[in-house]
Amino acid sequence: MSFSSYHPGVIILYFIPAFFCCALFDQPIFTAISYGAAFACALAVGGRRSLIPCLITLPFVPAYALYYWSFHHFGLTVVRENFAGNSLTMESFLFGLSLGARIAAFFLLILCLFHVFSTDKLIYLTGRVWPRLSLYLAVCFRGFPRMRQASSACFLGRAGIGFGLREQGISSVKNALKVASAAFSWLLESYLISARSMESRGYSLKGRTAFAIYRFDNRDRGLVVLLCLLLACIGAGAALDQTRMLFDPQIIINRITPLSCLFYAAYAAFMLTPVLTGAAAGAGYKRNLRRM
Amino acid sequence: MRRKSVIALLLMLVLVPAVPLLAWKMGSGMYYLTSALVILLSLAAFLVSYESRHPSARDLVVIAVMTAIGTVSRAAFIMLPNIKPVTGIIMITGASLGPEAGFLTGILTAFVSNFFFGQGPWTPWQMFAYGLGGLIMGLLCKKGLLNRRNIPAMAAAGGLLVLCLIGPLLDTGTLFLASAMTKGGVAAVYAAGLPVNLIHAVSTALTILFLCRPIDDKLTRIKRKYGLMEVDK
Repeated sequence: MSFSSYHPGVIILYFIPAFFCCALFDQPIFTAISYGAAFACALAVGGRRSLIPCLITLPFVPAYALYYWSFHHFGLTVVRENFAGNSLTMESFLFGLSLGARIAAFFLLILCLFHVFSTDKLIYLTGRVWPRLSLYLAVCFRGFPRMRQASSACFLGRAGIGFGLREQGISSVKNALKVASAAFSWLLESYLISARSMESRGYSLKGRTAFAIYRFDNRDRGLVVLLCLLLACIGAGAALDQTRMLFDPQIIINRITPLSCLFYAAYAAFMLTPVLTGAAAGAGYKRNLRRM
Repeated sequence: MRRKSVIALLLMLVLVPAVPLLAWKMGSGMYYLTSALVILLSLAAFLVSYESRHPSARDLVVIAVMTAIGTVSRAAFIMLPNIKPVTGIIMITGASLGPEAGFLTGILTAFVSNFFFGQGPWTPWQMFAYGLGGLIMGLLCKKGLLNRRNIPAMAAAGGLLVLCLIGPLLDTGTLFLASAMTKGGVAAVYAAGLPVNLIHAVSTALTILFLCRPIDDKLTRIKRKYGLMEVDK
């Protein structure tokens, strides 16, 4: 039971604060946690498909820092001068490193979201909040296989009367365009007839019930409580200025105290939620197997 | 005044100016976050205002089908870099169905097609740029400045719109994302975007040249048959 098996609302409750925290926290320990956790989550949920994008972010961070260092010259600690006579400062390099790590973490979180949040979850969530958008997305996503079926039927029909794609030269292109035109007209008319049926059944009226395959159960409730507790802890850390660092004109960072370690642990636990839930589910499954 | 119209007005008049003001007061260089928030709030205001008019399912499905066609066209040319017929299709939709439908098709085509190509920080900028293309083309046709039966003029207008507005808008998103807010950085980003925008403009013009008449004929027939959207002029 991976993270994607949780209720769509719970998944959104994780990702929206994760994106905000990733973008806004520039204290180096928080940035390192953001990047490391996003890397681990992307690998955990995406598997082998996420390996190459994750590996690309490794050289991206120092490369972005070098690029930022070349174009921004704020800070007091001058390391050297470039060929144009501009000062290359330590503060601008460290800020570039922080920004590069945050951009990479943001990108990896989006990759994670891409794997976890399927189109059915999106249609379900929007259907609760905004039925018209849900209808729109359902037509878009389910239109592609219908268009393919309509095109195949047109291909076969036209091939049967001698207007197939195996004709030579420009004829095959003309035949393909005629099939595309027929499929497009068919799709429009088909959906308009469906729309009449939907209107007669009272779609998008207030209070109309909708069939849904997702249920909000005790497992989801438990994770929501845990996420809220962790977010409260992270919020306390942000309020106490533990998540910020100043780079211009010099580096200023808040003291690291034992309480700071609590905030780091809470942030790491929050960001690693997809990995930890997957590991907990795997451990529970093995425990149940041993009992049998 | 309807509740949703009030919400849309509040979004446009209060929140949209408040975000850059707040960012300026905070003094940090969060250009990307500020610009993305402004775009998303503007889109939200438009969507709330559109929703307040209770569009029928028939209007929505036509826009959804055009979105699907745009997404398929973007996928069909994935192997040819920067050649994007999707912008041409969005502009044809705007010209045929009106500026609001064009804007909605544009923003949702960018959003839906990025489910296949990868969502990212570029998504709000793409949504806004494509939506603006559909909106402006729809406005030009609605106000009589452009005749959608004059295909060469439509193609030229579409190409110019991409070269002068949509392309630079997408480059601006890249600029804010890269935080290259120096004279050299700005010049580098826009100069690097020029050949890409040229190819994009030519592909848009060619799409409109070849597909405007057939798609417009079908949409006009559908509008008359089912009594959709704006009345044909």
